[in-house]
Amino acid sequence: MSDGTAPQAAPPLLSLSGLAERPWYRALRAILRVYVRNRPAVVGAVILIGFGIVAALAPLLAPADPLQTEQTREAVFNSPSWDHLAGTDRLGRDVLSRAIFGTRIAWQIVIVAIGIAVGLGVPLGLLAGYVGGKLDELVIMRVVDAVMAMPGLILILAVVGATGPSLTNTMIIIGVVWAPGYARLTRGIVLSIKQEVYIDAARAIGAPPARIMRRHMLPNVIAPVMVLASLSAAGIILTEAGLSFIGAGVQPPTPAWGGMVAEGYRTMLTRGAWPLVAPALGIILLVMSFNFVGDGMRDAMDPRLRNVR
Amino acid sequence: MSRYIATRILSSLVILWIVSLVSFLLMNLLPGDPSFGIGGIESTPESLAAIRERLHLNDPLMERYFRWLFNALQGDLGLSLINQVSITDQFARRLPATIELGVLSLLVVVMVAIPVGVLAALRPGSKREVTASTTMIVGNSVPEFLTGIALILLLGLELDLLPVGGYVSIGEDPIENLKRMAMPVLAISLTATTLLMRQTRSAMINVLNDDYIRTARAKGLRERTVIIRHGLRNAMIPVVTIFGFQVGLIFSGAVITENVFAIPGMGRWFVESVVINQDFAIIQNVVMFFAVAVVFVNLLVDLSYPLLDPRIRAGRETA
Repeated sequence: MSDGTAPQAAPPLLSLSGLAERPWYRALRAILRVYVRNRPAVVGAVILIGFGIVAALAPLLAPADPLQTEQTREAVFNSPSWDHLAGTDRLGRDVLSRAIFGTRIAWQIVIVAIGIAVGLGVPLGLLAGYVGGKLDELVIMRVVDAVMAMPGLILILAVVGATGPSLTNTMIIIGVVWAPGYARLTRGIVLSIKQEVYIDAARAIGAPPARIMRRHMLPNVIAPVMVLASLSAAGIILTEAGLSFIGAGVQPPTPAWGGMVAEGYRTMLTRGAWPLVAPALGIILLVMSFNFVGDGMRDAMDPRLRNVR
Repeated sequence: MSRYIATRILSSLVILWIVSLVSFLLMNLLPGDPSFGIGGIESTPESLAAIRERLHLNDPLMERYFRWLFNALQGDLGLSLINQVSITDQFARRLPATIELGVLSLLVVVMVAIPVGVLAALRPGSKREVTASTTMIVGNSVPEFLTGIALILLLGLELDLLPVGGYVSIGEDPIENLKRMAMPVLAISLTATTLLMRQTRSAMINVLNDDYIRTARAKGLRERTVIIRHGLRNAMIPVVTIFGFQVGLIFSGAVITENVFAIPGMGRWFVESVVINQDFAIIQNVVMFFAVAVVFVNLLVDLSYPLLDPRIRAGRETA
């Protein structure tokens, strides 16, 4: 965009000194400065990275094959030992190895589901907010309201009833059910900046709506969407664990944490709780980390809360 | 004012109508043929056709939708696909346990979350506040079924205080009923409590920074009066707003928890219908039940705003 006076030299793309002058870079630095002061948020981020590494390197880290059964009386329901650090389950499988591969499933579901939720929700929200009118009021927001009025787990269970349970179905359904939240957030932001001078200016020089949405509105949405993504990652893992626990999510023998807890629970009263300890810790730790990171990001990005602490 | 009430009721009905349409279409358009589940492995094409005929599966989609809707409004929810028993009767049997779970959980949530949330807001940044908000996040990170299992291990097995599952109706034996409800209610309440606590805390922090709080203090009101009359009353609006969400959360919790503690309520029935029987007739009705309950609570929330906020009473809808 030319401002009509003197033509300005384009800022160098790959210069570090140029980078430091960019406003978004300075904003990011400011956010990061607040973020690193929040100790739980930093610990959460470290744990998340740790889980990410475990998920990526699962085949190297797992001491045994997560599906390898050994159904002898000596091999099943072992308490933790040097051979099996987290014990063995009812089929003699190594619980630690299964929990390690379970990390993969958890990350996979989070990434795919959030990808779907953002990919559906953000464009819908941009459209609803920018175009407005009947499309917004009568169609998009009504559907968003209806979906959000329903408790997520119940809606998801209903869809599972129609499609049958599987890993793929779980990821897709969770993604679709989470999308309205992103649509509503995006729409709210678009409505709040719609009347800003720079949007008027872009429109005045004849920028087409698609370009205005992409270049001028989308950047305002990114930071809040990142916060929501981190917080909804926690909710997604909880939901998936619940689904797998009641048998409506990832199906055995695939090692999903919720399913592992369910299997361990069935024999808990007679054979003890060891088979469910590792997956239970996995769920709690991963969800907690996402919650702390999301909280830290929100506190760092919301200037109103910044002064509270 | 009456206009406000009318709009809210109308929009609740619209939401319910959309949910009914979506859940019906979902059950009837997605692949999967219920007649096969009923006929079993030994079914022949003829027997399948007969089952489809009996279930009216060959009728036009819209006709079936309106028949379901019309009958349901008159209290006839039809027959289950799997064993052809009246769904209305089953509803009556399954409902009491879930309603009791929900009401008790909501009571626990409100009685714990609001006082603690207010206390946590009084001195932001203090040690107590930081501890409280950290505890909230931790509590918010444990799924209901793990809380339930931990309670069973601790209170049921280790200390042998409470029975570990099953259900006794309140009419049969009120004491035994409460004993068996205690652990499920605690398991359900934990997550919902932490969320409401956070909402209360942040609403209170916002309100306590307002000018009229300083005015109230400046004119010499007691701190208690300032916090409760001027602070909490105004903080209630965002707190009440998430009540509908809370009830949804409690129902979701009930669906999971009823399976942990073997309680024969709506949630366990729902899961059985989804996972074991794939009984579309039951699923669409149970979904509608949860939708009606949540939308009704949301309507009550909307209707309570004029009581909490005089600006809405005066007809200026700003929110």
